[in-house]
Amino acid sequence: MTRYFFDTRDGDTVFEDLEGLEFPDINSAEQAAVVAVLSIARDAIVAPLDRNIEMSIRTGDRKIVATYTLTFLAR
Amino acid sequence: MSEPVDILLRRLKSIMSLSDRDQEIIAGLPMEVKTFADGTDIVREGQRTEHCFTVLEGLAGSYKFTGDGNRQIPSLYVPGDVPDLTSLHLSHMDTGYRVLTRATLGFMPHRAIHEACSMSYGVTGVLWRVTLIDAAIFREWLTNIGQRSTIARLAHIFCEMYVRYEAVGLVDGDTYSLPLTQQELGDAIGTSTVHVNRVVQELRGRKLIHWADGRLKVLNMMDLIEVGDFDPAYLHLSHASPKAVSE
Repeated sequence: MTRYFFDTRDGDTVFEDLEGLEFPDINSAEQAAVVAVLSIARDAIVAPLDRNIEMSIRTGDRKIVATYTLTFLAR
Repeated sequence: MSEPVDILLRRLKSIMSLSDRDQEIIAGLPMEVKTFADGTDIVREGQRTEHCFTVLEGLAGSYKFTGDGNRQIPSLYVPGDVPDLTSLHLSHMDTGYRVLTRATLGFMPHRAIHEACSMSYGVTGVLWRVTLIDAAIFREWLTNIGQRSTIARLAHIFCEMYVRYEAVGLVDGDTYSLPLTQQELGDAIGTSTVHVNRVVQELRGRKLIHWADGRLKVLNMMDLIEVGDFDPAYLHLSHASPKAVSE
C-alpha cells in the first residue's frame, strides 16, 4: 500500500491534503481521484460562472504523479 | 444483572412507552448471542432466514452491489437496532447485512417474535414502529444523497449517529463509537474515499469534530447541525434533542 495525497485547487482556493489515503497502486488512486473531482465539482458548480477545478495526486515526498483539471465555461 | 436484551429494551423504550408486561414479553424472547469478526456477512441478499437479529455491541450496515460492482451502504445500525425485522414478513432478504467492526449480535427466532406479537398489541406496535422509523431514516438518507452537498451529507450522518447512540445511552463525553473506514463512509454517502477524506479534514479544520481510532467526538454540535441541515424529528424519538455541546 502506498499513501497518496490529493490536493485540490478551485480558483484561488487551495486545499492541501494533510492526511492522504493508502491505495494498493497508482491506478486505484487515480480512479478514486476521478470520482472525487466530479463529486467536488458537483458541490462547487452551482451558478453559471467560469470555474477551474484542479486535483493533483502526489506522493509523500511531494512528487506529483497525476493532475486532473475540470474546466466549466459559462458562455 | 444486565442481560443482552437490555439494549433492545432501551432502544424500544426510546421510541414508545412499554407496559411492564410488554417489557417482560420482550425480555422473554429467546436470544442466541454470537460474535462476528469485522467485515463478516450476517445475512446475504436473497437468503431466507428464520430469525431476526439485534445489534448488542458494535456497528452493522446493510449493503447492495450494482451490476458493475459498486457498493452502496444504505443504512447503519447501532446497538439496540433490529435491522432485518422485515424478514419476519417478507420471504427473502432484499439486501445483505454485514458487521462493520467486531460486533456481538442477538438472534431471535421468527416463531418466538410472532408469538410475542400475538400476545400483545403493544409488542406488535413497537416492532412495527421500528420498521417505520427505519423507513423514515431511508427517506432522510435518500434526500441527503440526492440533494445535499457532500459536507452536509457527512455532517448530517455524524449528527444522526450522535442522536441514535445517545438514545441508547452510548454517548460518552460527546464521543461515540464510529469504527468506519473512509471507504465505508464514502459508500454510505455516495462519494469516493478521496472526497470523504477531504470533507473530514474540512470538518476537523472548522473544529466541528474530532475523529480518531474509531471514535467520533462532536466539538460543536450547534454548528455541526447547521452544516448538516439536521433536524432529528425523522428519528421519532420520545425526547430527541441533541444537546448543545458548546456552552
